[in-house]
Amino acid sequence: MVTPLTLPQLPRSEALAAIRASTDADSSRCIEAFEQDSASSYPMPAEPAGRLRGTLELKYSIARGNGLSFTGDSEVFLRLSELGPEPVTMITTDFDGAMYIAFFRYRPLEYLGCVVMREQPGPSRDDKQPAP
Amino acid sequence: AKLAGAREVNTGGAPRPAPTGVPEPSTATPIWRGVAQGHHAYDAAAQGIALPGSEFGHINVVAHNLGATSDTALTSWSTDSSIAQQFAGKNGVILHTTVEDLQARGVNVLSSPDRFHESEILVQGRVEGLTVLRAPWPWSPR
Repeated sequence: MVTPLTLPQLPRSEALAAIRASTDADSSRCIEAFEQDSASSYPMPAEPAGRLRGTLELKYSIARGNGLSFTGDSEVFLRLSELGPEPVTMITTDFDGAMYIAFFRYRPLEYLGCVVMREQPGPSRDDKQPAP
Repeated sequence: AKLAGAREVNTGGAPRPAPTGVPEPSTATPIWRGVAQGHHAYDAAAQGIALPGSEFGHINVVAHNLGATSDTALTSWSTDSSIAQQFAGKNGVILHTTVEDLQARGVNVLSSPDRFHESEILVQGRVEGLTVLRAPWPWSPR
């Protein structure tokens, strides 16, 4: 019997500090999103940046075709391409009707950018209703 | 050389969802996994094997669904063959089985958060003896 590996955890305080340390003008919404999160830490997978870009380009393309919209992905993809085989990690939170995905260089932790994914206006696949 | 147990179908012309030559009970849940040429698991897939990024890695479904698949013991499947087709690309292959077949073999089948609307199902570990589909896809118009 093989016990599956457990991912290391990234404390929310460290993630927020890394985002706040960035000079990215668009990071304020990402900071706001993670500030409100109730999670104290996030699973921290490591993925080669270039490989992750290839995977995400396809996943996001499929998602767009299924009624989701993305912002910030072009900038993140550019950074992932620049990093090539270097390991990166990402964390997520849900805020204000969107999913925020923050990307970091793995160690030392460095904020790379944030992708925001939203349902486009119209009928939702899950028929989810906004909270009153 | 093809491994024993690998099943390959390339008959074409059958309507979705059950490709011609793939016997399935009507209550089964068919699933597909597209693997592009050049993907680390392509050679295995071409022989009917679903190979995760790390056979003894983690099984964190959230991380895997987000795209961090290198260190997971999971492979991604979809209940929608058109999604698998997009992952296979022009020259890739599509693996095919059913949830029930995997479960009958003792394979762990996990739900995905499916945040990107891929109709994703996650399967734990290396799985052999899967049906291999190649273009032209059985559901494609001739």
